[in-house]
Amino acid sequence: MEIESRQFGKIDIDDQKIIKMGRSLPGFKGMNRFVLLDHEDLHPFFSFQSVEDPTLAFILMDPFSICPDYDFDMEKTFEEMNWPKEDLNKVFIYVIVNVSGKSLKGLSANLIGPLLLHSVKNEAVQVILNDSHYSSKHLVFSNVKE
Amino acid sequence: MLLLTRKPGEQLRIGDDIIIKVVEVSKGSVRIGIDAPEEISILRQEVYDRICAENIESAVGNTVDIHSLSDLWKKK
Repeated sequence: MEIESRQFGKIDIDDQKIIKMGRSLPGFKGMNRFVLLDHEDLHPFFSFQSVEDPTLAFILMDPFSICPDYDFDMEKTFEEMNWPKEDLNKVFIYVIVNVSGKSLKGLSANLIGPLLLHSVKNEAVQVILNDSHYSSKHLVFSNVKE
Repeated sequence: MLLLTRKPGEQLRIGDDIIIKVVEVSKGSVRIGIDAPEEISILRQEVYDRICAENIESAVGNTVDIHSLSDLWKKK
C-alpha cells in the first residue's frame, strides 16, 4: 500500500511488514501501526513512520553504536508480549532520537525508553526502564569536532 | 480519583488481581508493595512523564532530515 511518509515522501510499503504496537507509545495513545523504514546508507538511523498519521514519524537509532555496553532486562517485556525466550535473536533494539535546539549536534537518544521490535511477528513495544542509570538525553555527537 | 486512608500493614485490592499494601510510613515517605500480574506495568509516574515528554518532543521536533543526520554521523 502507498503511504505518505515524513522523511521520504510517498512510499510503497509491504502490508505484511506493518508493525503493530499493542501498547502504544506513551504520549501517542491510539497510534498503533507503524513501519520501519530501513535504508542501509542511513544507518545507524532508521525512520519509524506511522501508517495512521503521515505527519507522525520518529527517527530511531541503533543504541549500540553510541553505547556499546547498553544492557537492560528484557525478560519481563518478553513475558508481557508473549514472545518466546528463544526469539531473542529475532528481537531488535532501537532508541528514539531527539533534536533539542537548533543544531543537529544536539541530537540525543532516549536510553531509558528503548523500542523492542520482533522482526518476525512484526510487533513492537517501548520498554520503560524504571530504575536505570541511563539518560533520557544521551548525546549522540558528544565528540564531534565543532 | 478515589481517595482512601490506610494504616501501615493494610491493603487494597484493585480488580481481581492487583493488591496494594502500605508497608511502612516514615520520614515523609510511604513504602508501598504491589502484587500484580506480569503483564501490568508499574512505573514511577515521573519516569512515565519523562518518557512521554521525550516521545512527544522527538516526534514534534522531527523537522530534521534523516539524511543530514546520517551525513553528520559519517563525519564522526
